[in-house]
Amino acid sequence: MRIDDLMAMAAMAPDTPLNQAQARRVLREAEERYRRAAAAGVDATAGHDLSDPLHVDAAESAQIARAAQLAGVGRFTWVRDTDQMTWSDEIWTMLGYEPALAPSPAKKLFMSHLHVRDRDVAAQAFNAVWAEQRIVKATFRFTRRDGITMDVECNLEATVDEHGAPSGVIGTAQDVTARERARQEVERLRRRCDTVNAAIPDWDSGSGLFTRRRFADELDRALRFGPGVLLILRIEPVDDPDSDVRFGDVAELPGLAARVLERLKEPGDQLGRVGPSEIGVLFPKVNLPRAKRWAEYFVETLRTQSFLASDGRLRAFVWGGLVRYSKDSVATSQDILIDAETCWREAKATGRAIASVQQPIQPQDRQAVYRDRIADALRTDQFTVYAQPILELASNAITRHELLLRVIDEVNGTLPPSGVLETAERLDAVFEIDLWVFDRALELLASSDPSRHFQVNVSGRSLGDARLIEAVESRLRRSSVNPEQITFEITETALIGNFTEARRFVERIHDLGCHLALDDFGSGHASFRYLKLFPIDLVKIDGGFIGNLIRSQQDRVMVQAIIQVCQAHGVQTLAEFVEDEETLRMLAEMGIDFAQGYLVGRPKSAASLTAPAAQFPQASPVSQHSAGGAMR
Amino acid sequence: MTPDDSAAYVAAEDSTVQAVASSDYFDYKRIADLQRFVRSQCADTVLADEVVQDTLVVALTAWDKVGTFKNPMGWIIKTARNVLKRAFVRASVQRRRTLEIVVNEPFHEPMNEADAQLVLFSLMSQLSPRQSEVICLYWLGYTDPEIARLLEITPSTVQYHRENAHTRLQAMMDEGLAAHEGRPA
Repeated sequence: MRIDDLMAMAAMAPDTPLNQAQARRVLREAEERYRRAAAAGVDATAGHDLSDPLHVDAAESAQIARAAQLAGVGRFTWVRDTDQMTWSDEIWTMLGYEPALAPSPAKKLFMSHLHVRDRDVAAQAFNAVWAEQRIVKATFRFTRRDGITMDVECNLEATVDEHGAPSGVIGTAQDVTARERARQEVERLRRRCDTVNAAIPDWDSGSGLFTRRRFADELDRALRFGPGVLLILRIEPVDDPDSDVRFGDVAELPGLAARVLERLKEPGDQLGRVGPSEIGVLFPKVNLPRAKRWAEYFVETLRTQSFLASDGRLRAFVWGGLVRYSKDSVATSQDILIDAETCWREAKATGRAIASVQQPIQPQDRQAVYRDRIADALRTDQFTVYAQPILELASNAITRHELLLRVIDEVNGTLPPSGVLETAERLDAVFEIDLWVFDRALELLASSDPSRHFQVNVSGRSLGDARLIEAVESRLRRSSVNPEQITFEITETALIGNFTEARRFVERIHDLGCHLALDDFGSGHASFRYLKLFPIDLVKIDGGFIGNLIRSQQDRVMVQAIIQVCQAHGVQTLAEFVEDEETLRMLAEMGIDFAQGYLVGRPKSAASLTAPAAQFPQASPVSQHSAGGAMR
Repeated sequence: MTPDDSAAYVAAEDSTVQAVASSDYFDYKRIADLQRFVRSQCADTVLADEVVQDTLVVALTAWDKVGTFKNPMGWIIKTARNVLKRAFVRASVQRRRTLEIVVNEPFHEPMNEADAQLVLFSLMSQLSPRQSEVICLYWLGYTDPEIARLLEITPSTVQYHRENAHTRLQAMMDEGLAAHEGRPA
């Protein structure tokens, strides 16, 4: 049986004579009591409120309106008979009008602010209130006068006339945009969980230790809690006279050293792979003399340790650099890492096991030391230039190359320069590096076919350097190279960070005839605006969008959008990190102009490019197989 | 009661003008509604009758004012509530105690109004005080906004209690019926 049926049955009040009599008896008794009380002078109404609870008092509604106002809640009223709508000032404010200057309230105006897609929902809510006389609570989107969308929570109820028939609707409206946005953000993040790649690794695959970045985070944390010491151990392989291990295996060496250190160290100490041949050890809450004793112990153990590599034994040369830091140190974790490196270099240069400093190095000294080191490296060929081919889809030929900096490490051969460039940028030592690469580009262009084209990176720091324009211009004048053969690549973030200087540089080099490419497009903010503001010739789409192109719809949509916008602006596009045929085909269909990546070709020593362009093998990946696999 | 009794009643009437006017208002239905409301909130029939009487006395005393209201029943119900509250305080009645007896009676589908009322009241007594107030007034035909004003709570609270009460009542009914017929609930 339904409860409503039960209620209906229980509500039946048959008008039988018996029932009538019973009711009259009750009433008579009450009247008797009333008369007796009145006679005795007793006021039966004492303590009872004699106002009509069902009557809506004008004063009371003013009070309610005031309370609503205080709560930032707007009220609105609609009367059916007149089809008129009125509302309080809060609603005006919500909709983006100045209450004092607002026009007359009108239903049409109110409805026009209701978001298009919520109109049906609103209609349904209204019907529920009107027909079923229910109270409805719902959230709708409104568009303010200034175009901003806001979420408004409304409580609607029907008003009734004296016959109990619905005569209108009243409601409250409250701005819950912040709450809704927070809720939507939680939802979005839930959706995003799958697509966000854990691109920033915390663990170094070779050694199983923290990466430099993660280790720096640990150092940051330790800095907040108190003083301590950072040690960096440099580990270089040395020929074991009794073995014939080749140098190529040394990549495993730091990993093995790490295993040894893990056994030796105390539980509170942290290890990290801060470089290809460097291991960092963090000693929180340890003083310098004690840390030095530990460092010497490590160095000694590793030096006397014999390492078993894949085909023989290895020994290691080890040096240690220590920096003591204090809790309120001005130096950052990056600075301290740089200082520890300076120390081990010092130790190596002077033939000692360890070298240390009592506190982080003064910024000017740190900078000076690093600049000297860079200058020295540039002079003694510790840097070299590699070239990666770029395919032009229209002609299906390699028409240009990007020049990439490589560091020559005596132990590890050529290395990507990320660590060096990062530090150099921080310590303002990158200008010389960028110019050095530019010089190499000019050299290569001078000694090769006029059809060659090179793309050269310019860092943000250099862009902001006032000397850059002059330096580039004078070099171009002195060389016989046609400026059209050069494209400068600037990252979006560098451009945003040095806007005015970038503008000046870009306009100047354009006057000279060089081209400009915007690198890592899509990774910054307001990307498309810069297409309008700068005379850009080429946009390099951030490789992060290309890598997963065939599997990710979000990436496809993004890349297609970038290509279309660039085409509309007359800007060419280049996709980085193209690793397989399918991706290239998809990009070709989308309208990309250039492709770069392991499918097209790996970076090779630029020296190998001095052969004329005509002899360079033509790649035809669109029609058939790829050249040499797409392994990263 | 026989027609003679009713005649006797009329004859015994001293009839002050007031009393006649108010008794016009207090027809069978209205008295019944008042009784139902009080009875739904108070299982003790004796006490319930007392409360009804006291409420009517107050109403008669204040009829000058209350009689002018559009819907005096609203005020009467609200007053009954207050009288009931005071009565509870005075008598320290344990509402639940009486109910257990009722619940133990075999549950059967009611066949008439009186039966249905009994069942309904016993079910309602198992709700929270707020829920039973709200659902009773709903049962008596008041709308959400009206209930809100009578109970001095917001309409959305009324809706909340009403829906919960409705659900619980239905659940109790299903359980009761099922138990009676030996079916699993």
